[in-house]
Amino acid sequence: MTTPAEPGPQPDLEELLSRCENEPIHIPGAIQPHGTLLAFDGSAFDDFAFDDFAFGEAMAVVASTDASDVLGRPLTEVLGPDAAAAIAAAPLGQPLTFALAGSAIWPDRVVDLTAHRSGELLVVEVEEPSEVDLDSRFGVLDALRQLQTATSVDELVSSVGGVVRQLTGFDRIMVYRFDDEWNGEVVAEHRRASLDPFLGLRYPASDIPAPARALYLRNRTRLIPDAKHEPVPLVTSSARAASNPLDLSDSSLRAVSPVHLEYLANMGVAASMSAALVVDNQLWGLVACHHYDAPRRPSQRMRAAVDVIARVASVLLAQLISTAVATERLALFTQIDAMTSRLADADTDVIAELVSPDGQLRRLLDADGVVAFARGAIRRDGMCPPDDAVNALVRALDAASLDVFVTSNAAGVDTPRLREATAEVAPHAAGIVAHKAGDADDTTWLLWFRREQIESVRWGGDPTHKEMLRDPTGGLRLGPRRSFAEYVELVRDHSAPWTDAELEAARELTRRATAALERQVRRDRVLAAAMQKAVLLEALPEVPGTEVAVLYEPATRFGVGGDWYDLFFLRDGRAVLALGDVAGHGFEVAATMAQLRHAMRAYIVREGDLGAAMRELNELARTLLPGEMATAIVAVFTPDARRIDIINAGHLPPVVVRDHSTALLPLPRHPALGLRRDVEFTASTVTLAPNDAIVLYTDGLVERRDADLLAQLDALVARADQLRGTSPEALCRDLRDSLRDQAREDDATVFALRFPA
Amino acid sequence: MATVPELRAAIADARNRKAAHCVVDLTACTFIDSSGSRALANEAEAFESEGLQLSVHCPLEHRKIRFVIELVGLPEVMTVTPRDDAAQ
Repeated sequence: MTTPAEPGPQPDLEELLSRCENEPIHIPGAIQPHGTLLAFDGSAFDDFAFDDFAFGEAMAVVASTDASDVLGRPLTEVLGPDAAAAIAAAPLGQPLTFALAGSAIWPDRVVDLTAHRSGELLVVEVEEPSEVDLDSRFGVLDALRQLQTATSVDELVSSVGGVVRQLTGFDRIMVYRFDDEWNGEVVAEHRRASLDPFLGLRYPASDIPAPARALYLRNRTRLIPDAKHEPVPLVTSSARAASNPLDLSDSSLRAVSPVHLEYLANMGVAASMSAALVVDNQLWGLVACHHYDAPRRPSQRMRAAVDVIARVASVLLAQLISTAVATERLALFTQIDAMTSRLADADTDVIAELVSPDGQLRRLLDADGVVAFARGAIRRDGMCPPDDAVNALVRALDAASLDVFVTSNAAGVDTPRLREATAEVAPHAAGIVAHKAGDADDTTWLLWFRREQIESVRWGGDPTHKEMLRDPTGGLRLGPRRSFAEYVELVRDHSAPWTDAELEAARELTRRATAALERQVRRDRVLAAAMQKAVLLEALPEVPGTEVAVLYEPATRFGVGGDWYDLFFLRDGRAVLALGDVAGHGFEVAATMAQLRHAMRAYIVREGDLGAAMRELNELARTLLPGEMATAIVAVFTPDARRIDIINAGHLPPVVVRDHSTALLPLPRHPALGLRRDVEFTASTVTLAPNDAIVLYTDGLVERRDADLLAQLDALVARADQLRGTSPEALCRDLRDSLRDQAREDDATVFALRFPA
Repeated sequence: MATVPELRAAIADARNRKAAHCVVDLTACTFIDSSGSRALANEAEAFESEGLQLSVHCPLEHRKIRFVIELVGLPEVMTVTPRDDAAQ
């Protein structure tokens, strides 16, 4: 037999492995000894010439048979005319039992036989009848009925294992299910009570190499009734065999790879039988039968019954799998419909509606956390990576121009442009599904995260074990592992896999979120613009004794921002100017500023006092903007005295344009509106000389990404100084032209006032 | 410290540990905007409600940062050191 490899020239393990993967197992040139294989050449059944191939060893029941007795003789002579006629009449593959009347070699022996074609040849496989047969072991019809009652994949695989054990009487029946890498996991088991359970164990892909898997698609059952047999070489009368070896793909007697026999011996298996479970033309799994103490040989008819059972189970399996997928899909789409119908009526933020604390978006994909990343802001639900890691991931996805990204092993991502970002996510989440929603210039990412799930995989023996063996001719080959002791491997860095239905749901939800976001953006822009139009004055009213001008320019992206201004009169004829800025963009901000503006009017008219009105406005802002704030500057002017009473609540300081002393106006500090309760506001008074001007503005005039705010304010003062004497209108326009950021990412408002000489 | 959520998390952590006095040192801070100032003000309020104190340290010569935090009125709602006596 075989011995472990001697130390010697370094053997190439990869090459040996690939030899196993490429072994031509369909043309072994030999058969197992439990039957006789006869190959007949001929165009008509009644005079098949028994030409090229014959058997080696006779069946045990057949005495004194020699290949030379049959070589060159026709089917009618070898098996007798009745058997030949029955073979001709029966469909190929049909198991038949005959007393061979008129047979030249086995006169009147009762045998089982099956015929099939191999190329030009008719192959007849003859076996001694076996007591493991449908004559004495009942239940095929019950078995078929029982399979049909299964309502889940688990139930079905258990059921198929049970009925096969019932019929065949093997010691152990396991149902393997193959994973994407062709490792087989034992998903159902029926065994003699005294045997150790193998349920849940996994067997590496190399246990059933690619050629064997391919053959299972064609010839769905495989029997090795005695693992300790010696194969019998085929005998032929002509030289044709060498150049045209007999293809035994469809044969049941086909010899077994010596590596596999050794594998069975190492496992302590005396007899084995397998039947393929095939779904969508792919090998889904195997029903594997083991017998331990003695050989076991189910008859041809019994094997045909197992073959039918496995085929029926395969069909049922396909149905149950597609039903399960459809059910999962339906459940997910029902959830998506519920979520998106809310999106359609929601007046609120789509993102806020999606990532709501009820966790629906998270649960949709059975994720641990979900993040919506919109306009640089992160909204999260559940367990997510920290913001830095999310930011880095989104930046990397954008940089790689990806719209979709899925992994269940963040630590193992090797795409160069993503590797760094996914590595940052990996300590917090192993599974990522990322989808880009929203339009091109207003990107929103939806990201689902799943935690690492440390899985202990119980292998049936160390899957990494490989052993080199030297065969009798001195060649090296791969030996199967000897130990099948359970070997537990911890698989880390992986999340539970995302199912196809879940990924489809993520796609669909993203598509609908995009549509909702687009609707929201359009609606927001229209509403915000309408509201701002209502808030901002079409034209400033004439203020007797003063020259005033305002210039308002909305942001180019994101719709209108939070700038607001107002100019109105008190009963005593004084004019009030209010200028403010609410942080943010969009409809909600526009609504807030409208409220602030109207409240300001009401308070100051009621209170008559600027400080008191501001105090109330601050309390309102506190209520309107929890956790937010708004800045405002409010001035009341008395034209006769060229006097301005002014309060600055957290706003940028005004510029006073005077002869040789243009400067930012130092004012007492008041916190921005909404920053805290109970603030006392005290107005300051500024008196201007004739032709002096005061300029109020919002941060959109001076803030820009590439320049420091203080430097911009210096520039503003310098430019305003050069403009002394110009009209308020020209002043506003010039300051905008010289200072405003071209990107116009925020609203900008400039207001100028002067008392003419 | 790069972002407002991070700042918040660090401060919330100090509050959970019931640090009697927590100082946010902006000496190494290169940029702060209104959302950062707002976060500080909100946190100061949360500290105060638990009888704890949160203050901000920012050197006077760190003008850009001082300007922004003073502009929105942070010194009016929480302790900012060193005090700017020149301020009105």
